Amino acid sequence: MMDLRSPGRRSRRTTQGRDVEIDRLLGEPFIRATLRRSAAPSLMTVLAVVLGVGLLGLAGWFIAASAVAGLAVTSTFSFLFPSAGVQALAWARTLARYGERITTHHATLDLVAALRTALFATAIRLPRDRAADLRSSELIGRLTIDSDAVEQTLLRSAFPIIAATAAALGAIAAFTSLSIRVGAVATAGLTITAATLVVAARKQAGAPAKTLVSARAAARRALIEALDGLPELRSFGAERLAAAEVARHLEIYADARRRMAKITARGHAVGTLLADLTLVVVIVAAAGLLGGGSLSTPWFVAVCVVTIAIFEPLGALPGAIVALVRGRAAAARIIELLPEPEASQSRARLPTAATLCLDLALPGQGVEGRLQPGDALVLTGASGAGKSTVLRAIAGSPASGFEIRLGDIDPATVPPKEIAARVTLVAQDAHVFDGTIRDNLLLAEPAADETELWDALAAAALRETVAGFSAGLDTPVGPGGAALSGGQRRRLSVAQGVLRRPAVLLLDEPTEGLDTATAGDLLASVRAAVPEAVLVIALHDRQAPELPWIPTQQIHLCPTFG
Amino acid sequence: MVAERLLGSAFVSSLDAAARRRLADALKPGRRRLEAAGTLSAVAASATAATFFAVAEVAQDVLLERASWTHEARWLALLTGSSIVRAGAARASARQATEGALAVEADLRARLLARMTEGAVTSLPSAAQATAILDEVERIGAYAERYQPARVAAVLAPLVLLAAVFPLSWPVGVLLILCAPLPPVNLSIVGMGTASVARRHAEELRYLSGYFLDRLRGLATLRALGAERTELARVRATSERLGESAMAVLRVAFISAAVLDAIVTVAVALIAIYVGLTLLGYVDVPGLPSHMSLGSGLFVLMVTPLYFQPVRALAAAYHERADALAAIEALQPLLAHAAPEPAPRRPLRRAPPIVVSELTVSFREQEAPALRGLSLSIEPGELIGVAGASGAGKSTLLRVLAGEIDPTTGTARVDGAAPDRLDRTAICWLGQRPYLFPGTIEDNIILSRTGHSAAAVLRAARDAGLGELLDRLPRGLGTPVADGGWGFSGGEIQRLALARTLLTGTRLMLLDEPTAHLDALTESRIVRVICRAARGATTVIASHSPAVLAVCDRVITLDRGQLLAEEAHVETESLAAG
Repeated sequence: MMDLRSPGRRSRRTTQGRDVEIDRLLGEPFIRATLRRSAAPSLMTVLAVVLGVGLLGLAGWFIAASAVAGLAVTSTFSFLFPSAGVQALAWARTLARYGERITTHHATLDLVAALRTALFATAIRLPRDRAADLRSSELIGRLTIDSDAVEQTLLRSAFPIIAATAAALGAIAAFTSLSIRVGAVATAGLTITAATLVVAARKQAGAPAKTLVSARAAARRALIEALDGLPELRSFGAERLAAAEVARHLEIYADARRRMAKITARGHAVGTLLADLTLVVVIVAAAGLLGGGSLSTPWFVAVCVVTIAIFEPLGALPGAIVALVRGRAAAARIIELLPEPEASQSRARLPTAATLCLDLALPGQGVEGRLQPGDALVLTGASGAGKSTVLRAIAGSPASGFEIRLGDIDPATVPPKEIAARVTLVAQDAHVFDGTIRDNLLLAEPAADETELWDALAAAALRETVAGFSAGLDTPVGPGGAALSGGQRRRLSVAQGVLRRPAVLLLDEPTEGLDTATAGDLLASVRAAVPEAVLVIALHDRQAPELPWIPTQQIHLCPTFG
Repeated sequence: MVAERLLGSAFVSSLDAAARRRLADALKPGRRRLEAAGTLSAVAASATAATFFAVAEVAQDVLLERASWTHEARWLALLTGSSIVRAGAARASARQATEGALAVEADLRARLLARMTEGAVTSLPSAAQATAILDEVERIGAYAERYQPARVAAVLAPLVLLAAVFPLSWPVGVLLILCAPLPPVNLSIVGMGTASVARRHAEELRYLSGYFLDRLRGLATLRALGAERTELARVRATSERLGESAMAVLRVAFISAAVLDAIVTVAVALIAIYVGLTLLGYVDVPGLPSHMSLGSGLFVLMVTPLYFQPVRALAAAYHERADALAAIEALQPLLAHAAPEPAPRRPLRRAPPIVVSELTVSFREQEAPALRGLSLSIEPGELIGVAGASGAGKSTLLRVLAGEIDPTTGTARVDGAAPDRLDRTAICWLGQRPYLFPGTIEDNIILSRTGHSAAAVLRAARDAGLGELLDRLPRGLGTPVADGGWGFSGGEIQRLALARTLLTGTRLMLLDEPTAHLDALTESRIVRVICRAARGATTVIASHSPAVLAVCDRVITLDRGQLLAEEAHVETESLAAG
């Protein structure tokens, strides 16, 4: 589930450095990629934990040595050196902790930003039909868990695991150098403790982690849909039904969280018991209670204090493992989104706009024809007859049941970029972006000047409306164009299509939601605005007779088709 | 706009007491559990001190060379016993904290959901509301889980530990007491700095996640416009900006944590040196004890970090507090919205007359009012068509009559009452984008209503023109509908929604473009169905379709929110009957 490498992905690499970086990031197993980014924070983490444990060990050693010297009749114990050491360690540890916090969070945030960009890039590259399959609420639900995935994996699990490992290994090394017996006992105790914690948390957390991640996404999706359908739901008294559906998902989510928290708490408790058991056997060994002689008092105290001190990093293990499992579940969900490799990567080029012809053969309908630049085709037919399918096929979506050739090439085999340069599809459900009218128009053509923007609006029969707004082009449209009426949104999308000046302009029901007069204006002005373009318009049967110009060809699609 | 609104509310205050009071109120449902968690955590700290005491006593015996199995067994027993208490208390504390936080979140979510379903009018889009219900509430939960128990423990645990330290070494006890106010003072000084940076970051975060979601929703459009590359660059820039703004908050917060760390570390070093000097016998200050056992010295040294532990936990959770304050502020507009009065809602017993006078509706986002000074009178049982250019105010008029929108000025009266005083289920609404549940077709027709025979459901479905579809589907009415109606065409969804309205007789029908997305044949069939259902009901249909408007008793035309023309169709009776 973590291996994302595939021939298809590789072949889509661009020459832009940043894109290769994104591919590399998503193309590596998640954990390894994040760890590579975090060499410096890992070092700081190790430094901070070693200095922290070392400070307590040295302080313990120091006061025990003082006690020994205080009891002795003559003593050569030098007070200055260890006390200076304690102070130096104290300051070094404070600085290391600060450095650790800054570097670990920096690495995490950096990765969140990179991952978010990478996910957006991936979403853009989704094969067209997959993108359509994933409804927006689903897509959003998945992509918003990105930061969760990184935070859980890196900040809450990778670094704590590094700290625990460093503390345990450091302690074992130090103890062994003092006494093989103490070292062996500590090794056994710490290994059993750590292994128990890791194995138990891993085993138990898997299922609830998956539930947690998917329930959270499902709750978000259910919420968005219920809120969208609220006016209608209320009129049937069914709003409680929708609320219950949302509450059901929230309940599953809360339950999964409860289970995860229980696993962490139980792990922590077991860890406490095992660590203190280790402390007992270390005391028995170091004090020579069962024979074998005792360590000197200062070293005995240092060993005890260090054994206690390393419990803090060790005790974080269950939480870290649970977080790791959760992060991986989130990552797996995101990764499901990634595009499947496409079979062939053709480098087909389309002819220039001036010579681009569109051939259309619909065998089931007995229709065949060629459109030259400047021609117009009108598709009519019942809803569900397949008008949109034909338009999408011209724009490169794979389709069956008819043959389409753009300049003698099957558009499904042309790279999407090449299609986008020549063909613009204004879909029925075209999105209007949060921002101003100008922002939306500039998305279509960033270099357009003021005159061109107004001309495009005029072509879409929207000029007078916008001129009537006091802020004109700078009128904010709200998220999803909420501040505009349905018909105004449609026309803004048409204006975007016109601004692209495509060789082939495809309009899917551009007049839906418009009154007859405005619909007629729009159809007339669009044709006039792009006189050289092949124009393909899907219309309702009832609007077709009101065409202000005579189309080169008109096809009525039968409902059986598609 | 959403962002601005959320930001606006987050920006106004949070330093002020109001936000803190609201946050405290929000925590009430989990308060007892959270306090129990804090107390249990103090118990765990006391047990830890007992562990340290046992270790220190063993060290004392090792020093005096009298350590033996028989001699140390009791201390090892104390160590094991205290360890069991600590493990149990810490586990119980963690579970209480989680339960408390979940209770807080559940309560907030239930309140928010209730507000939304009860009909609190909000102009926030659904994605932003979902963010509020899920993410903002979760921030408050995180605060409850970590900050609240730490607050209780920060008072209780130090008291217990001081009681243990004083008998062994009163100067160390005094030093600890003197250090006690330092962390909170430091915390509040730095906290003030953090709060404003954190609030700015929270604003940035909300704005940018809204931006990101908007772009995701429009992916297909971006691709169609060839604007992916430009937008990718912008998404990258904004994501990085978000990371930088988060880092700015953290830098400040970490300085506060570092100062706290320094206080704790220096205290440990000071106590170590003081204890060391005393043990060496170098302390010769009048009034100060000149002797101390290694056991006592070791114990007070080990207890020092423990003494500061709850305060450090508080500091670590400090940005969660800032987040929670910002979150409660953002939720305030949603929570505070006056709940609709539970006053009995009037049912409609007959086709109601409708009187609209001087009705004006303005939306804050829009320049011009959607409706201005509209006056209109509809007889009981009339079938009225509302025509007009897009944006003329047709949908707005329907929404006012449904009680979805309050008039800005003027009045609308249905059967003599304001629409929002009517029983909502007496009004039948058919919108442009019907909502479908995961469930079967039958479930989607019945919704939450009861007492309908299977035959009635089937009849409603066939009347609405779903007959052919049902014949084609092997499971008929039992066919599952995926979330959002995936797998059904726009026309089919429209007919399904119409079947809902046909299942129960209704006295007031409000239909918003009921035949959009339909072909001429289906449209004429649906028009006939609507005419049949409209008998005995007052019906208002907003439509562009000549076929629909032709069957209306009267058609009014709106232009920019005003009444433009009115024409009667007398000859339509025959068509409606046919």
